[in-house]
Amino acid sequence: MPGLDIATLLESMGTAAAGVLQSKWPAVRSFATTEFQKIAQTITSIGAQVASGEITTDEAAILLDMQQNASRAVIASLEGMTLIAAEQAVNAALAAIKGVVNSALGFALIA
Amino acid sequence: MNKAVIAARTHWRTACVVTLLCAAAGCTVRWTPLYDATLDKDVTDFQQSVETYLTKLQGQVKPGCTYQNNLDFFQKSSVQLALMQTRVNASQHSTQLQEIIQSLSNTVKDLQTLQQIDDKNDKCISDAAIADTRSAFETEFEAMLAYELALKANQPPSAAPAAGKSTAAPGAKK
Repeated sequence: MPGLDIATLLESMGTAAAGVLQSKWPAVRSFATTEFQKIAQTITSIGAQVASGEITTDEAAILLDMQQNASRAVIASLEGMTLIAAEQAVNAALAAIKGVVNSALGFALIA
Repeated sequence: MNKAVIAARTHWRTACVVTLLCAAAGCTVRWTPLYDATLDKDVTDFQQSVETYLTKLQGQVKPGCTYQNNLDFFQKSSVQLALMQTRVNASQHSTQLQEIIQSLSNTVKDLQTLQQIDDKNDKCISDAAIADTRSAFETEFEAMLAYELALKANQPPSAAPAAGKSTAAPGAKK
């Protein structure tokens, strides 16, 4: 997807999640980064599908929700984590890339 | 007295003494969730059902791809998930498995909504959307199965989600 660099997205997401999780971050960093990578890849896949007319923006939101939901569950299943902490981390990660993603895609994928 | 009864009583007394000594020493007694072979099989069966369905949807044309034509999958999934949820709720499993099962349930609902939208738009779900859906399911199944396998190997379940690292990239064609 033009305008979206996964490595840059990942860095922003990791920094935001680390800020939320603070002392818990080092222990979950590896797993969370893997999940953020899946979310970033899903975003680029969704962008390409909307651009080609394969899916609507409504469907795009559902596809992102699927991966967001799965990643949140995985992060929440790590020792010392809770669903609320995982949700806050994922939300912070998405908020950190909201501007650049929505701008590159041309529609508000991240609410 | 039967030898087995004597042995059982001895084990019970030993367990009581250890627990009391531990409590006196200020230890925290923590119940460890046990490996559940039935749950493990249920998860594998459900994964097989989901994978079969997603594979069936790929490249399919109307009316085979429609939500209305595949109600049986969603009904069966609803039952399978409810059974797993009940089993986990009734066991000593922590909230970790409950959250993963809830997540699986949410993903099924999202897939249902996607197909309902496609029905309204008179089209089939795209292969790329199926790949993204498969990626979300794989993330959840891997976490679930890794948790169960960690219990089976008598390891801390916290090691479970490591398997999630091998998940294929979303959107990748398989």
